[in-house]
Amino acid sequence: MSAIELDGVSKSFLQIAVLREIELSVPEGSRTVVVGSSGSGKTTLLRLISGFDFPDAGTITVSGRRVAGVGAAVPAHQRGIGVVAQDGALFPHLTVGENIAFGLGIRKSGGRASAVRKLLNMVSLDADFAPRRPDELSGGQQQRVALARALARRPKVMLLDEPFSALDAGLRAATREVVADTLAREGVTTVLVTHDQAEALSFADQLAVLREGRLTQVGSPRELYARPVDLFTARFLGDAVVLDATVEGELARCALGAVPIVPTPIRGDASIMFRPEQLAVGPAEADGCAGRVEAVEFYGSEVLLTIRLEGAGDATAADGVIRVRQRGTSNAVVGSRVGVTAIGPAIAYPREPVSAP
Amino acid sequence: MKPAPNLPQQPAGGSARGRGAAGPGRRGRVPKRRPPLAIVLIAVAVSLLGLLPLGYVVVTAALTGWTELSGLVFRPRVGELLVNTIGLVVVTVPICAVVGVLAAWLVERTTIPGARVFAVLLAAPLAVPAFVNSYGWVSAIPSLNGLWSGVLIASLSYFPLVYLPCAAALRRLDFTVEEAAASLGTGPWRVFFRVVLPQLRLPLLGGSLLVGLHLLAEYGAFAMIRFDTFTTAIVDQYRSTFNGPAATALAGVLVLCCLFLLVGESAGRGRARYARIGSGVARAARRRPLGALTPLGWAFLAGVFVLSIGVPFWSVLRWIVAGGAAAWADGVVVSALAQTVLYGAIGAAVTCGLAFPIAFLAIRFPSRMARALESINYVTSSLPGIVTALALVTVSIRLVQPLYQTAVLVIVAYLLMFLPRALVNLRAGLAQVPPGLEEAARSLGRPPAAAFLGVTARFIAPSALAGAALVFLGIVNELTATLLLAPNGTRTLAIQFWSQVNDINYAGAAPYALLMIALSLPVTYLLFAKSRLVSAP
Repeated sequence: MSAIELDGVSKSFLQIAVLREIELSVPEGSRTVVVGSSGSGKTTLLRLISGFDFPDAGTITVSGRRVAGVGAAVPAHQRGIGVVAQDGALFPHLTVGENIAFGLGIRKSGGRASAVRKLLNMVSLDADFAPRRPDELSGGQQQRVALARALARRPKVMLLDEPFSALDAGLRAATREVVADTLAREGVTTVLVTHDQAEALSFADQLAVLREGRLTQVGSPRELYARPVDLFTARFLGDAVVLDATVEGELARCALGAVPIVPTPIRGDASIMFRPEQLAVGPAEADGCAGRVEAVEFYGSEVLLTIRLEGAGDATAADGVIRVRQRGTSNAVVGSRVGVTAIGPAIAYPREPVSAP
Repeated sequence: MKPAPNLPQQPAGGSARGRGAAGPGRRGRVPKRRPPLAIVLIAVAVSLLGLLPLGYVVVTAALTGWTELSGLVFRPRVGELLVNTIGLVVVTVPICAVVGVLAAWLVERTTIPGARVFAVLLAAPLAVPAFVNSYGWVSAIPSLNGLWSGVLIASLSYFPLVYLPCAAALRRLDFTVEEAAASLGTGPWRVFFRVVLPQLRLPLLGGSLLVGLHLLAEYGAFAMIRFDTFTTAIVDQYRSTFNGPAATALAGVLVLCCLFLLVGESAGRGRARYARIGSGVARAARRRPLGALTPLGWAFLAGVFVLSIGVPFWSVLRWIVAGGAAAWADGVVVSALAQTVLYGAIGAAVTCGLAFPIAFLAIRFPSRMARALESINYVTSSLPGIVTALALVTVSIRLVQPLYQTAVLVIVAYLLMFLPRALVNLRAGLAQVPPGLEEAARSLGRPPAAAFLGVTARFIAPSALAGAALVFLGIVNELTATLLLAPNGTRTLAIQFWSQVNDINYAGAAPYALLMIALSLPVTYLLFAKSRLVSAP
C-alpha cells in the first residue's frame, strides 16, 4: 500500500496555477524526493500533504485515509505527519528539551527526560543539549533537534522541506546522513523536497521531477539520470553534452561519428544527449573522432575539458564544442589534439530549436 | 534580525593579527579611538540633568529627616492613595493586556472583515489625550467617578500601548514555527497559548509597563472624575501648600512605585532571546477564518473603537456645535495653537539635538559609560511628569532663580520627559548607517565632520524626524508639568482646555480638544506606520 497517494491535485494562488494535476504515489517506507527549481511548486506540494494548505482539486490519501479532497479536509494537527521545515522552525521560547517534548503530551515528571534523551540520541546528539536554547545551536544541530521533535510523535510519514539547504557543504552531507539513517532505522516514509540535484539523487529511492507545477518524470534516480524524459530534465539532473544528430535506425550520426542510441521512434533530425562521463578522451586515432582542446578547467579530482570537434560541419557552430569531464590525472593541455569516444548509448530527443551558445 | 555586533574593542583574540605584525618593541595594542570631546561633554551634561528628578527626591527626603518623613508617609491619606493607585494599576494593566493582545490577534491573524481598517483605527486612541478622553466620557455620563470609571477611561486610552507592539510582533513572528506546532498535533487554540502568546511576552511586558507608567503619571483624566491617585494628590498638595515636604513625600512614594514597575518588567523579561532563529524571509502568516465567532470578534473590535474614539469624538463635536462660533471668536484659540506648535517645535528640536550625542556615543563608541548615560535617561523619562516638574521648580527657586517661571524651564522639563523618544529613533537610525560609507567619504578626501554631514546625517534624517514627531506629540498632549512650570499667562492648547474645563465651560474647552486631536492624528499615524515596518526597532 502507498503511504501517500496524490490524485489529480491542483492548487493555484491568486489565479496563478502552482500545481497542476499532480499524480504521485509514495510507497510505504520509501524515501521519495521531489526535485525542482525554485518556484516550481515543491514547497506548496509539501504544504498540501502536511495540511497547512488545501488543494483546489484532487484528493490526497495518507495511509489509506483521505485527508484532502471531496468531503475531506483534515487539518494539519490531526494528520500525524512529521514536518521538518527549511530552518527547523524550533520554538524560540523553549529549550531544546522542551521543543522535543512539545508534541509528547507528557508532563515534566512522567518520563519526559528519558524520552527526550532517547530522541536526542536517535539523531546523534548528546543528552546535555536538552537544557540549551535553540539559538545556541548550530544550523545542523537545529535541524537534528527539529527532526527529533518531529520523530517524538512516531509519525508514519515525515516531510522534509529543503532541510539541508541552509547548511554549509560539509555540514550538509553529515546532517543528511544522520537524517537518512535515522529515518531508515525508524521505517518512516519520507518525502524530501529540494532544488539540489546531487542531494536528490543521493537521498532518493524514488525521484520525482517537478517543473512549472507539473511532475514531468517519476522513477528511480538511476533511471532518471540515465534516461531523462526530455532535455530540460536531463540538464536539471546533471551535466549534459548535447549534439545535433541524424538518427538512422539504432545509430545516430553526429560530430562524434556514428554512435549507438537507445531505441527511439525518432527518425531524421534529432538532438542526442550524453552524460559527460560517457565520453572518454584519449590520443587521437586515425579512424576515430578528434578535436582540439580549447580550455582546461582544473578542479582537483577532475578536469573539465572544452573540446572543439573536427567532424563538426560548421567550425563556428556551438554544437561543434563539447565539454567533457575527465579524471584529474588527465594531462590534456590547451591546443593539443585529442580523440573522443563515446561509451554506451546516447539518448535521442526531438531536435532542439537553435540554442544560444 | 541579528543584534548589531556592538562588542567594544575586542582584543584581537587568537587571530593572526596582533602577534606577528606588532614587532617586539610595540605591545600590539591598537590605539583607542576617542569620541569628540564636545559630544562627550554634552552627553554627560544631559544625563546629569536627567539625574535631577531622582536626585531631588532622594536629597529632599534625606534633608527632611526620618521622623518628619515617616510622619508624612505613614498616614491614612497615603494608604488611601496607595490603595487607589495600586488598584488602578492592578485592574487596568491586565484589561489593557487582554484587549490589546486580542485586538492585535483579530486584526493580524483572522479573516475578520475590515481587519486592515481596524488595524489603523485601533491605534487612533493614542491621538486623544487621556484627559480629553475623560472629558468626553464625563460629558456623556456626568455621574462617572471613582476607581471603575478611572479603569474604564484609562483602559480605553492606553490599550493601544499594548496593541501596537503586539500587532507588530505578530506580523514578524515566524509562522513556520506555528505550523511546526500544528504538525506536532496541536490544535489552533493550544498553538495560540503555547506558541504565540509566549513569543509575545516581550511586547506584552513592554506595553504593560508603559500602561502602568502612564497610569501613575496621569493627572487630568483622573482629576476630571474626582478619582484620587498619587499624582492628583501631589498636584492638589502643591496647589494648597506650594512645595511643602508633604508633596515631596508623596512624590517619593510615587517614584518607588515607578521603580517597582521598572524592576518588575525587567525581571519578567528574563534573559530569553526570542529572535527568529532561522534565516531568510519569514513566510507570511495565514489568516484564520473565525467562522461562527466572526460577529462576536467584529463586535469586539467595533465596540473598542466606538468606546475609545467614538465617545470622545462625539462629545467634542457635540460641544463644538453647542458652543457655536462664539467659542472660537476671541482669537485665544489661534494664539493657543501657535504657542503649542512653537513649544512643540522648539522642544522637539532641542530634545533631538541633545539626544544625538548620547545616541552617537552608544552606537559608535559603545562602552559601559555610554550605556549608563543612556539608561539614566530612560529611567528619568519613566518618572511621572509631576515629579520632574516639582524637581525643576525646587531647583530653579533655590539655585537658579532667574529661570523660575520661564519657558526655558518648560523646555527642560520636556527634554527630560521625552528624551528617549528621540533617543530610540536616533539610535536605530545611526545603527543602520554602515560606517563604511562615512569611511569611504573620508578616503575620498572629506574631513571627518564633512563626511559625517554629507553621508551619515542624510541617512539618519528620517529617524531624527520620526523622533522629533514623537516628542512633538508628547509636548502637545502634556498637561501636568506644563501646568506647574509654565510662566503666568502661558496659553497652550492643553492649559486653555484645562482652565475652561475647570470653569465648567465644556463648550469653551471643545475647540482646544479638537485641535489637540487634529495635531496628534498625523503623528499617531506615523507611529502606526512605523510599527508595521519589519526593520522597526
